[in-house]
Amino acid sequence: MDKMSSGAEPANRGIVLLCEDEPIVALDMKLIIEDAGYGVAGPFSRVSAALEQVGTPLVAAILDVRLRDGEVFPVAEELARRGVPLIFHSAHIIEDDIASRYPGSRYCPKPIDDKMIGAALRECALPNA
Amino acid sequence: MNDQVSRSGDPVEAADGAEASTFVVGVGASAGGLEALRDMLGSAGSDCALAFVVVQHLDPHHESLLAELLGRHTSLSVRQAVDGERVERGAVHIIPPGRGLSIRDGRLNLTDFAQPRGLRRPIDDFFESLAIDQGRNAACVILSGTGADGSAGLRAIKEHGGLAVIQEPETAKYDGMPTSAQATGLVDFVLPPQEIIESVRQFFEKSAPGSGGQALARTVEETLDDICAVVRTTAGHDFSGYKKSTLGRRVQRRIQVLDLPDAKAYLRHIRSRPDECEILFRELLIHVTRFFRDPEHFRTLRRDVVRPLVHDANSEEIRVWVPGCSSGEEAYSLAMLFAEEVRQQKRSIDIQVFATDIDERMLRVARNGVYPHSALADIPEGMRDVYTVARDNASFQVSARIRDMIRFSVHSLVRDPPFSNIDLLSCRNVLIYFDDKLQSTVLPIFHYSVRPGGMLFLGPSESLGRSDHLFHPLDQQARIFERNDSRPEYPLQLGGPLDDRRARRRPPERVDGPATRVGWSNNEATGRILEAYGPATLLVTAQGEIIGSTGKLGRYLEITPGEHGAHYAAAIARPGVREAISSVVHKAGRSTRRAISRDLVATSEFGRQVFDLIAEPLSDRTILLVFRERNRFDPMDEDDFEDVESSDSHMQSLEEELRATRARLHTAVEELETANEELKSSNEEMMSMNEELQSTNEELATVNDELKDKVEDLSVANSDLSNFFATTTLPLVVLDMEGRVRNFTKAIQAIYPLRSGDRGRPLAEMTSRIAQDDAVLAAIDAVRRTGERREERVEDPDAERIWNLIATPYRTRDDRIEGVTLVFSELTDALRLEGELKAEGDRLRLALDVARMGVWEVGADGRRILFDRTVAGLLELDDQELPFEEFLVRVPDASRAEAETALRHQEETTLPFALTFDFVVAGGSRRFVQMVGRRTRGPRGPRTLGILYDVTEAEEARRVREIMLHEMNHRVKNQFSIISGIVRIAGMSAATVPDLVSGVTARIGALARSHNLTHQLPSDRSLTLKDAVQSAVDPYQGHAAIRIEGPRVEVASEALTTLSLLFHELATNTAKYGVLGPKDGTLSIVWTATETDEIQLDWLERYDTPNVAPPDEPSGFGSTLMQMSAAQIDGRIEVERTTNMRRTRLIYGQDV
Repeated sequence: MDKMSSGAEPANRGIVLLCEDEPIVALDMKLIIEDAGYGVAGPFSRVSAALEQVGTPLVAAILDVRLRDGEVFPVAEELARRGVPLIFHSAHIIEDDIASRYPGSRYCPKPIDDKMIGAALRECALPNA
Repeated sequence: MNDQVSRSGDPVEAADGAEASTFVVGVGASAGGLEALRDMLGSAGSDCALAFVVVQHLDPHHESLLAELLGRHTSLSVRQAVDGERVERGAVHIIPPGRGLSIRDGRLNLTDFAQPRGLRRPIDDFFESLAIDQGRNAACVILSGTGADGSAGLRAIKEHGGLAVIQEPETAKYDGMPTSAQATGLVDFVLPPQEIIESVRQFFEKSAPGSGGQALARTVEETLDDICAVVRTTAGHDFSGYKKSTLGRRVQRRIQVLDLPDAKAYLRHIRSRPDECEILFRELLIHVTRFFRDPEHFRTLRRDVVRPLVHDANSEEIRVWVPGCSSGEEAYSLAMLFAEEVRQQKRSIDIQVFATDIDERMLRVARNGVYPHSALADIPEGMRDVYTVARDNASFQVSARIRDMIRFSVHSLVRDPPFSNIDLLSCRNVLIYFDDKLQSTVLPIFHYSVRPGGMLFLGPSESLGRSDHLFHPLDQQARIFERNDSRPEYPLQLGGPLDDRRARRRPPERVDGPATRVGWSNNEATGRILEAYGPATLLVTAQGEIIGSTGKLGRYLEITPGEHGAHYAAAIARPGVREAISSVVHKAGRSTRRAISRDLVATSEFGRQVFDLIAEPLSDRTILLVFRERNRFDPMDEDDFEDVESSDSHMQSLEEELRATRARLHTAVEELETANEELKSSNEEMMSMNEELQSTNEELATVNDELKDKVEDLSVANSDLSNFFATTTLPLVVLDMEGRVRNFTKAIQAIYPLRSGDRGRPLAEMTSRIAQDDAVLAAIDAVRRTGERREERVEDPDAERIWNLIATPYRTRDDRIEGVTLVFSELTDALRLEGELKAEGDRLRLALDVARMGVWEVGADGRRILFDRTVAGLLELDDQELPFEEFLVRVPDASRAEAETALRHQEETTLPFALTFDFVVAGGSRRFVQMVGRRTRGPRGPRTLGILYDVTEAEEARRVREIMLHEMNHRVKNQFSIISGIVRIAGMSAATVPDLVSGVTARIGALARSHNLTHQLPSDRSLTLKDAVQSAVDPYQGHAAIRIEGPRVEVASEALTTLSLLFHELATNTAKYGVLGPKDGTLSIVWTATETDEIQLDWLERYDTPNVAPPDEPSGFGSTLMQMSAAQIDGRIEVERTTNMRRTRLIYGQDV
């Protein structure tokens, strides 16, 4: 986990876990994250695949709620437990529901807004965020 | 002599204007009248066009049943008269009790009696008004009754040209009224009751317009002079100066009464029948008069004439003349006035009243001064007691004092010399019968008769006419005139040829044996011979009564009998003749041979005559006695006295006769004694019978009283019953055992057109408004036979009205069946309502069933809830009711409070409510139901009811819809993300904007195609891999040979988009760089399933011409996208390139 301040080498700002089961959206998101200077773990279209990666150092996680083999919450639980900032990204679940379950989590509704994603990532990467 | 006369001036003109051809018959009856009325009206046919008005003396305090009683016996419509009612043909109007009756303009008026009960004359009153109103169209009939009511009215009817009929007194229970009426001499028909109507009908038929009445009138006019001539010769009075119209009408009436074809026939009739001449004479002299007629005129007369006359009289006598006095009432009225005035002025004056008339018969009535009690009302009250004496219940007599003041005598105004020096001449309602000529003859006679300054009192409608120079009016209104002082002219035309005829008027009742008499006096020559040259002759009866005589009888008889003496020849014979007459008459009476008694001597005061007496019996049992003179008459000598003795032979015959007589006397005495004995014993028997009768009478009186009470009760009950029958709306008929109508309610007319006259007619003859007449009759028959009630449903022919007929036996008090009662109750409305309700119910049930709706109800106490079958089925209940608490428990908590409030009608509202909840049904599962209901107020308190229906499916559908919506929302947003991803990715790789656009469009097109695939597919078929491949290459068909091959592999819908995208990228690349684009060659897409359940798909391009160098790889994005897509479906992409081909291999797990 690279704790360098933002604005340095973009690719070195750390790894972001991405869960998304739609190929085009996943590719798009991957490019956005990478454009923002982060590396991407994923994208994962299955909860089972994502769970294998939660132990790796992550600065944030962008999670689609519905994945191919179910909802993403087991992954989110695990990440939250590990203190990884969560950015939910969905067309499915309303903000309040997630906010009540994961305090401090963020929500970016579909369709993707790259600036919003970027801003959320930056906030997450800040120390003590 | 009647009010009508005074108004019109002609007693018959009044009726002429009436064109109504309704003939009104007034019927007067009293005691015994019911029976006579019944017989009379019972004979009327139903087509009788006469109208009847019955005036019966009725007890004013009792309701009269007369109409009802008569109605049963006649086909005429009988009813009690109502004020203002019009008389109708074929109807019988009956006087109501306690009221009088009069008629005006054909309408009946009820009047109140002015007189106290004993003095009322309802029959006279009605007849008088009938006479005035109907004139010649009126008839009066007088039936059984006591007293004299009706006689005066009959006179009025006749005076106005109407018809007068009386019941034959022998057939009447009480003959007082008919006899009194007959005594007027004006009756046209005397008939038994059942023949009356037919005679009256025939009479009116002839006088009806168009039935030859006018033709008859013409012939009467032509022969009137001849008829008058006959009357003049026979009756001795010349009517030729009387008004022609009056005479003509009365003659015409006689012709109608006698049923003769025309006036010529009548002329023949009257010539051959002297009695008809008498009748006509009387008819022509009809006068109606009464005491103090026109009382106000009499008051004026008393004030202006009588009082001054009495006051100024100087002990001379006052002379009053009343010509045409008729039955004397007017003469008596005047006499009373004078007597009263003399009494009040305390004078003593001789009053001489001369009352004259040409009708001896009327004069006899006048002389007697006996009048019916009813006439008493006309005399002013103060004079009644003073000047009249009651005779019996029915009549009174004018007191002797008044009668002595009047001299009644036969006198003809136009024929006989007038009285002279008269102070007051009262001649009222006589001149109106005279024509102008006769009037102007009579008035100078009055002038001659009245002393200068004397008064003339005329009737209200009479005037002086052209003779007004003789008198001047003293009071025009009261018709009182004063004589002028001019010299009287003695009317010279008086007397003349009429004088000798007067002697020939004989009262007809004195005529006995006219046939014989004619021979004695019809020829002057024979008369002269008989008188002068024939022997003295007597015609006697077998008893010796003298019928006629001729010759000089003075020597044989004491006096010469006149024509009229009822003298016995023996009684008036002179000595010596008497005995001979007795014996020869005796002898001749026993044989048909002549008897002769010879050498008889008649001794008179002048001398003696010897003669033979011959008695010759004639064929008519009379005996002719001829006195044949034997010697010359021997004048009387003083010494001849001893010769008076009768001869021995005569003595012997006398003694013989005496002996025979004694013997006869002895026998007679014995017979008498025997008869006396018998009478004595009869008397004894009668006495004892009388005792018995007396006690029976007492018993009867008791029974009578009891019956009176009973009748009183019954009339109350009867009144109740008739009210019920008249007002109830229940149609009801009572029949007797023969099926004849006995009684019925008014409401029955909806079914049978029954009228009161139909009582007694069989019901079977009635036309009913019922289609099932036969069924009704059968039911009646059955009830009659079995005595059990029957019900029958009947309807009218159009089946518009329906009745329930209940036929019950009519039981008398001793429980015998005497008939059948039919009660009809109308069911029309009830049945229609029932039908409508049923249809309504069926419709509702159908609606409920189709909608699968059930009905529920919570009763007033709120303790139980009731369901119908549908609800019970829906809620899977065994019972169709549930305790309310148990029901509530099964309602979910959330809805329970609301349900309790609504269902248990705890709120005062009638607004409808709806509840929806999932009810826990028997199995523990739930069912969504909706209850809709409302509170109503019934007769037994409030209740809540409504319907219940299953909404489970609707609820389910709603939930699915919501989920679907949610999912759609998600998908759409996802699509947006994908599209924005496509755009952004394309933006990274595209060199130009057209590149960008075509790239984006192509990818979106791929997306859309994959979307179409999922939606266009038939639902029973799942998507296959081939579908996805085919869809990707379809846009490039024709570019190169494409081979698609592989087993059937199903594709899950989640993987479809990814696969489609993948194949799209492959196809795009092939089109851009490979065989679907710039290169020539073939494309084969072949897949297989491996043993590890993976799918391996080869996308193989074979080039026709080898590539010089491997072509540029497409942009990293394309391959990245493909790699990533493959990764998404847990697959991978392997690419192999040679100069001759390019193969892209996709391997992925099939479980995806």
